[in-house]
Amino acid sequence: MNDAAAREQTDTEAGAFEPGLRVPFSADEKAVARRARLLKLVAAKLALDLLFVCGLAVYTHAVTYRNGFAGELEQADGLGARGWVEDLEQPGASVEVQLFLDGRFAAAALANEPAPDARGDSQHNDRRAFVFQFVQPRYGVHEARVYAVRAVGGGARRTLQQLGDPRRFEWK
Amino acid sequence: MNEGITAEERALAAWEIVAASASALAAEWVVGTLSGRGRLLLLIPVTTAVVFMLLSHRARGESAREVGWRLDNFAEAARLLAAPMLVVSALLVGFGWYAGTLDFGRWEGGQTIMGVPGLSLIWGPLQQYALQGFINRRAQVALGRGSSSVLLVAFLFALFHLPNPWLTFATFAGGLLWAWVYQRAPNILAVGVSHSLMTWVMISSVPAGALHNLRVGFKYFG
Repeated sequence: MNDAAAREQTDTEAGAFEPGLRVPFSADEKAVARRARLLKLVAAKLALDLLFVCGLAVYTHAVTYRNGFAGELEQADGLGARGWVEDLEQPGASVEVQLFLDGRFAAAALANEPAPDARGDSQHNDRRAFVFQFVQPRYGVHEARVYAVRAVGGGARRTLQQLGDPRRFEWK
Repeated sequence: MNEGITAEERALAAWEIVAASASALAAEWVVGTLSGRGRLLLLIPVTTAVVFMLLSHRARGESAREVGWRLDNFAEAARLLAAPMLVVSALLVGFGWYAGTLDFGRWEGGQTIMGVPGLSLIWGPLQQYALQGFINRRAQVALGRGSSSVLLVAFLFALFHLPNPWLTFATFAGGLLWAWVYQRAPNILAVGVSHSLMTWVMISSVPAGALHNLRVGFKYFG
């Protein structure tokens, strides 16, 4: 089929040898303008997609991590771990915390008891204490990390924020 | 046919496929990941994709009839679809009967069989419109009619169903059949109804756990 015939092939009849796609734009000005419009349409569509994805990501990040937590894993050994956490979004509120040993979930607890601040005052600050006690001693070398849990979007997303630095310990 | 198409035309058609596919992938992987239970946001990529496809048809001067919204070649398309559908259905039903998992009343989300026709008769043709009426047509512009464009359509259809392994495999196989048939008898209703029927047969035969409730994209992990 020559070029001219191909351009005129527009039917989509069943059983036809050619599918008939009305694909090639002819050389007239109208068709060239239509192709240019289509090109702009593709660019606009992809730009909109990019904008939507980036916008949604930025919005979600802003909503999810609006206010984080302060806190620290103060001590960890073969018998347990302890520390404090402060919810910067709801000062004084109880916080769910999770302990991970060597990168694996080990236990969850609720930090709801007042914890002493740097001056030793446990009554006039918004820190909450957490304590994990292992049922069986954890022998050997381990790394402990504690995360505060934030449920957002009506509980649809649960994000974890690490509290302070991880602690390595060896228990014999 | 493709001899008369310039490299520019092919590139443009390929970018049209990319633009349409981006919406599906964004809906499955980004909206599902970031919006939590807020499903209303799905309307944004869906709407932009539909508007884009309609405007593209207009720019190319394609009528609804040419895209495949027609009845005159329904019988021809159905004739091409019948044999493979019967063979696959027999295999699936046989497997379901043998494994004891056959249940024609089972449907996504625990709906009864009464919910099947309404859902599937709309959902199948809509998916096939995007897949065949748009992507297949543009794939033929980019790669020509035949195995290359059929494979591309099947590959994209499978891609949209990742990471669900059984559904990815099933949609690749189904995509090959529907793309092949559409290139011979472009009829959206025929391939759409076929899509709906095969989905129903598969859900009724294959253990529910294997299909993971037909979940795709990020939702698969939820």
